[in-house]
Amino acid sequence: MFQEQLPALFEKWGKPELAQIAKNGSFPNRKVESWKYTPVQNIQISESEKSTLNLPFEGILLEPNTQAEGIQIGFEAVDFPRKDIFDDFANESFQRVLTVTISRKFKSELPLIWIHQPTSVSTDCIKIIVEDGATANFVELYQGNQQLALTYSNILVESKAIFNHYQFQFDGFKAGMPQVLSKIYAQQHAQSTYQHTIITFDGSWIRNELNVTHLGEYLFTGMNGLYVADGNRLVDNHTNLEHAKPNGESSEFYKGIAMDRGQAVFNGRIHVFQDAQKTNAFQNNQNLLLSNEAQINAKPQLEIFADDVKCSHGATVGKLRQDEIFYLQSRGLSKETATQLLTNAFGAEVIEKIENETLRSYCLEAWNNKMGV
Amino acid sequence: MLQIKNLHAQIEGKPILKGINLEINAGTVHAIMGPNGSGKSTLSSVIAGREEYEVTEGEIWFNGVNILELEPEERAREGLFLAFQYPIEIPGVSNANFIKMAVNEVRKHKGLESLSATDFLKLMREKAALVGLKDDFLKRSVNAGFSGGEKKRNEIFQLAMLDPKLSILDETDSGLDIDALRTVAEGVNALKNSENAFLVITHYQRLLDYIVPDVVHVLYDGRIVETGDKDLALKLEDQGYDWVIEKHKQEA
Repeated sequence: MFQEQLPALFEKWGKPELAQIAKNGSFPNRKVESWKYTPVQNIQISESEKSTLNLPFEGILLEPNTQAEGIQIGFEAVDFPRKDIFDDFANESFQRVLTVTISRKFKSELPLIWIHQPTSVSTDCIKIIVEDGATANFVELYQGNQQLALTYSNILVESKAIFNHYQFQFDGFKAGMPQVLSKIYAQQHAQSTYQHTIITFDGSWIRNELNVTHLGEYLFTGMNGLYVADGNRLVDNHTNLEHAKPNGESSEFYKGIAMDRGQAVFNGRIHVFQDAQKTNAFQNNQNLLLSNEAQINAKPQLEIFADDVKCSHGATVGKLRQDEIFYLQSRGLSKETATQLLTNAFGAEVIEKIENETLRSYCLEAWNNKMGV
Repeated sequence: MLQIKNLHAQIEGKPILKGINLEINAGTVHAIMGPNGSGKSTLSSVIAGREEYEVTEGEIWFNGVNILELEPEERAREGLFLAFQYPIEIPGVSNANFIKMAVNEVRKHKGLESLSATDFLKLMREKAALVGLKDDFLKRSVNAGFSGGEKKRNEIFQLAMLDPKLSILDETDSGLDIDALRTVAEGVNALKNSENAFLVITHYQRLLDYIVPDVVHVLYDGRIVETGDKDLALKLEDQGYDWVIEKHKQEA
């Protein structure tokens, strides 16, 4: 099993300090509420060579030697909250973290790209500061079969800055998706926008944690997601939004599809602090359950301590609508084709919200390929 | 072309259609009018083959085929078209791709080759122009974010592309302003010929000012209770449905 393999593997890779943590620490198990439906023992590790890089669209690759107008690269130590053993691995590894500072002078339309190419169990970390009034698109891409990528992001969006953060967890390179444990800690200052979009339809074991905290007023947080668990895949999305200041606005829209023997988890926590009056928080989670053996665990978790707020949430788990299937049949398409098209459409609704046209077309094409449409 | 004989249908055990008889010949336009709840939309759904409705008695013959035996897609491939009152939105599937799939299914059924990309594009542009839809509409997702008027135009666009023998327009006028109504009606009139037929289902008479029917039927309580020419529609416009209800409620 993964947990028992790990100390020996870390030794072999010349990381005795991580081996020690793996030996002495304890891994999350199903008795821990937030890991109840996400068994760690399902992670499978095998070593492989780093695959060659082939960017699916034009962008600015973030590396220690990246040079671009308005981008400053440095290295800093970063501490992440320690909630589980993976955080211990990560903090042990993160002495010199790639730190990207984006200023107002950054005017490129091209997205900044961060690629995860684990060759075993690897820890990737980035720190991003989006300075006052700056705007940037940031994309995380994944590549590499049967490995585990532990990825940590520390993001600070300063006043009036706009940061669009994308995670594309499907194999755009056709070389296989790694298993992923992603943790994002984002903080926002007044009048800023942080828009996060995550698209997952590949990878055997995926868990994403997104944490956003408000440090100022009159800001917007957007969280959109599409997760697909087919075959034997497991996809888990845990989001946590801390509405800590008044006059904040947020919109969360996650859609999930589970078929075959897939398992999907959605846990969306929204915490509205007592003095976060005039908060406007919207959450919507829709799920399609397309087989009897598939499983979806959806949990909206609203904790509201302020009294003058507008908060709405909805979570649904269901099948495709009969009237929609009938509409397509009435145009001459078979029931099977109709089902396929509508499942495709269900997911595409999230992708269509991507504002950047290059990124939207890239995702849509991959999604259509996946669904055979 | 279409013969409906003594059709009875129910939904969830509740009888809605209680013995419909209707015959439609090629080259004609029939209108079915009636008060709310009379069974108009049920009739169109049953002809198109919607599963939720159970036919308990009667027959529907379409060009010599008993279509009650056929799946909805098989009826469509035989040349039956239903323009929906509430068309469905399909995000992520472009109008061009969607209609291409539909047209190719119908062509395959007829034993015809798929159209070449160039011919198809030409045909799509021509039919889109017919209902006043701009070229960029072809790239947009099917009905996603469309206004009520655009959705109805799209229904007539699909009708034009599929070139069916019998088209049923289910409350196509609802939610349309007068300009959209006129465009939709002009589209239908341009498509009318001696080989096809139209069944226009509507609550109000105004659509029939533009698509002039040869025969008008009044549906009440699951039966056709009056049949006449276009003057019958004008009488309903003038006097409402009260006289129909008064005259026939004894039978109900």
